[in-house]
Order: sequence, then structure tokens, then C-alpha cells
Amino acid sequence: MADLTTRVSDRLEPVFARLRRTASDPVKSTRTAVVIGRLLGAAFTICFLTGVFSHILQDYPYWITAPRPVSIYRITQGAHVISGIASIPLLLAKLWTVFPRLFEWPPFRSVAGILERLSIAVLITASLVEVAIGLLNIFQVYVFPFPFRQTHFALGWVVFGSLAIHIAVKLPLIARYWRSGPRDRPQAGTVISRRGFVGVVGVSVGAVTLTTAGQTIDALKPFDVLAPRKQNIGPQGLPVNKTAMQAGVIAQAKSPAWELEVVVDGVSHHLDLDALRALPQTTADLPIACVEGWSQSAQWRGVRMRDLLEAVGAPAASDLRVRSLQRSGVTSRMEMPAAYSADPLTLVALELNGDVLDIDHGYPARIIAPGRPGALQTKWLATIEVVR
Amino acid sequence: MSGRPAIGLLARMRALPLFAESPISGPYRVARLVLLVGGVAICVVGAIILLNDVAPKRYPGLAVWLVVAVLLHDAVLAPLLVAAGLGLLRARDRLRISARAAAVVQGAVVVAGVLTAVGIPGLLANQRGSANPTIATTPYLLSLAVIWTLAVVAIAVALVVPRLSARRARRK
Repeated sequence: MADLTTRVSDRLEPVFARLRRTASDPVKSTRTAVVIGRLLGAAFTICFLTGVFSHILQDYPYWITAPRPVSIYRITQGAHVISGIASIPLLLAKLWTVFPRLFEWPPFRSVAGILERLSIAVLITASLVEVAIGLLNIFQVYVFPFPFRQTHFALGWVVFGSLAIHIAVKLPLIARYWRSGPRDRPQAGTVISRRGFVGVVGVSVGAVTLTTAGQTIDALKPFDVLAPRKQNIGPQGLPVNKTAMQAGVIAQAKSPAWELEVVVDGVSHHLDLDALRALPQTTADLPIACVEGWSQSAQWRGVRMRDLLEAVGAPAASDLRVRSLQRSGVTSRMEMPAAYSADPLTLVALELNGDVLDIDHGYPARIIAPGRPGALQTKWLATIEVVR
Repeated sequence: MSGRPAIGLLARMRALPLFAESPISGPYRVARLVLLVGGVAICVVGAIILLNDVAPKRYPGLAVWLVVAVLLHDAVLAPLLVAAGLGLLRARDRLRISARAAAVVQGAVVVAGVLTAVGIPGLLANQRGSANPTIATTPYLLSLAVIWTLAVVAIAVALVVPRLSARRARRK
């Protein structure tokens, strides 16, 4: 046995040495790994923090006490998708830089070394899958055999945790190469120097951002040639995440018998469209900001939620359970804490950009509240129940 | 057996020390410990979310994606990039392309390649179509065609301009 492993090991050693030599390049230095690595670390940190914030908004809405600024989610989720897309060239550049280290010999020098390589394998594969499914999700291309939201959230923690472990292991090395030192050779490289390489990576990050960020940053709109969404494209000049056809609500939503049911203390109040229009109307400029990273500001007009609640004898600050005509799916029901219901900008919107709501934007009535993910801006309202 | 000591892989593994370098004596002890413990804790949270929120029947599919992702990178993409780099080096030396022009060629191909990678889901979305007419409204193939045209123009300029100016200098 020992004889066999010796022979295998003796055979592998020169093969690995050759692979390592072939893949090596003076530009793939520790300094390069640190320069690219800290940019990738920053991008992943933004992704993780904004991702956790997005899940808090959706799963723990009661933690939010003041939904300001009104575009908070537009900013954080825009940053989530922008930094996620920017991390694609950064991740590839980092892996390109450290690829020769895959062929280190001996593969492990200690038990801790085995665990370290294992943690790097987890970091690399989880990162690759995380950015890949994130990118596929914003195009709503579901080619993977697992649920997006839960898997992306779980892998996000795994990526960020294994990144922290990786930094823990490499910290002395990172510190040594944080600044350009006397050992540094910025001009070294067979085809491209380190400065050139970092420049190419920078241009790549700029190019992917320029061509995709226009779906959420107004100023970059003209350069949006690769993003899944374009601002101003959609009914009433606004994209939609799910159409009325996809939600299966057209007949009910267009029915003249439609009424909004508001339940207070077990008593149902029914308000048809005329009754809603008879209540004081308020106009609010609020962004619609989707979890998929696109966003756009729009002008909404309708009944303030607090006015509606007071009209049916409920306090303005009430915890609500809102239901859509849509029967199933995450957007079919929503919890609205009192912090949002009492907000003067939270509307039961009847109009968008000066016209009656399009069916795809939630006709006859929808919720629009400040600082919330689009998935919680319930469309095709059916019932509003005062819980507390 | 030749006269060498019979230290097999297994024997070497058995002889492995716990740490290659002492983790207690190095710099940044506290920061490293905090990062390590915090990192493990965050990974555990991820594992708990995975176990709680993702149905076990989805695990094999996820495992396949995780394994295939690293194989696609380590066994396909990374070797291809190494080969492309070596190929460019050889072409540069054989065709006597200046170092600067070669860097432009490499940069243009890398940037266009990265944009293509980002454009793949868009191509898939165009091909599959959607019941939602506000998603993937861009013809991504056209976008990528324009991007690659720009890259080819940049490459052509980088290769041709130095030659033209060299010829002009020779005429003078």
C-alpha cells in the first residue's frame, strides 16, 4: 500500500509541478491577489449586507420603525444587484490570479491545511453558484433545480462566512501585501503587467456596470444594453414583475362587482371603486423597487391608508394583513406593520402617472408604500384586515 | 523499490502536523480568531437556512450545481484562459507585436468576454420568451454583436496603427 501511494505520489508530483509552472505568470502574484481580493471582498460585503436587509424587510417587517428615505430599498437593492454583477469580473480575476496554487505540492502540509483548502473549495463553488443563479434570477430564467430565494439566501451566508474564514487564514499575508512594498513588481507579467491587469479588471467592472445599472440608475439609462429591464418600458411607462395574466386575476380584477373588503374587529366594510374615489385623494411620488434590482420612480394617486382606516373606524397605526385577488404565490398576501399603515405616503393607489392603474399595475387598486420591496406592494387588492 | 525511503502518501498524511505554522505566535491573533469563529458561525447560519428552507429533494440538484460549477471553472475555463494567454504570447513573439498592442488585444478580449458572460442569461431569456412583455426586451445578441465589433475595432487599431506609423517613419 505504502509502495503504491509512493508511486502515485511520485508520478503526480512532477505533473503538478508542470501544471503549476504552465499556469504561473509573474502577474499572478500575492500582491495582485490582495488588490483584486479586497475589491471582491468589498463587493461581496455590500451584497451580503443589502441581501440580509432585503430579507429583513420581507420576513421581519416589524423591525422597521421608520421607512425613510422613501427610496431606501431602491438604493440597497440596486446596490445589491450592481455589486453582484460587478463581482463577476472580480471573481473571475481573483480565480485567474490564484489558479496556479491549485497545483501546490504537497497538496497539504498540515491538518489545518486540509481544512483550509476545504474552506476555499466551499468559498469558490458557493460564490460561483451564488453569482450565477443571482444573474439568472434577474432575467427570470429558472434553469436550476432548486428554489431561488431560499438557496440564494443560504448560499449568501455560506459565501460570506467562508470569506471571513479565508481572510482569517490569510490575514498576515493580506497585511504584508496591502500596500505596494519593495518586493512588489508592478510591471512584471508575460503579456500584461499588474497595473495593466488591474486596469483591464477595472474596465470590465465599469463595462458590466455601465451596461446593466441603467435599469435602476436614471443617468445610466442610455447605456442599458445588457440588463433584464429597461426603465420606461411597460404599461404606463413602468416595467412590471408579474402581469395580470400571469397572476390569473384578469376576470376578477375587471369585474364591475369588484369591492375592497376592509375587516375591522370581525366586521367587513365593502368599498367599491366609486366609494374609494369619493375618499380624499392624495398624490405621492414613490419608487417601485423590485427585488430583482430594477427600480423606477412614479407618481401614484389614491387614498391614504390612514384615511381609509379612519373612514372605517380603525386607528391609522394598525397592523394589517393584506390579500390580493391573486390566489397563491409570495405576492398574494402581505403583512403591513403600523409603521407603514400610519405613514402619510402609504396609499391604496388607484392611479399611476396621471391615469387609471393599468391592469398589469394592479387595477382596480394596489398598495404603494415607501421603502418596501416591490413584492410587498400588493396589486389587485381583495381584502385589508386590521389585525391589531 | 529503489533505495529511497518508503514514505507513501498515506504515511505522509498520518505524519501531518496539526498546523504548518503556529497559529498562536503569529501577528493579528485576536483579529484572526474573531474572523475564524465569526466565519464558522455565519456558515452555520447558512447551513441552517439551507436545511430549514430548502426541501431535501432539492439537495442533489444543488450538489450537482456546486460540483459542476467548480469543475467548469477549474477544468474548463481556467485551463482555457491559461492556453489563451500562452497562445497570445506565442503570437506576439512570432508576429512581432509590441507589448502595448498585445496588452490591448488581451484587454479587449477579456472585457468583451466578461460582457458576453453577463449577457448569457439575456440570450437564454430571449430564446425562451416570457409571458411578461416588460422583461428581457433587449435583443441581447445584437448588444453582444456591437460589443464584439467594438472589441475587434480596438484590436485592429492597436495592431495596425503602430505598423503604419513605423512605415511612415521609415519613409521619412
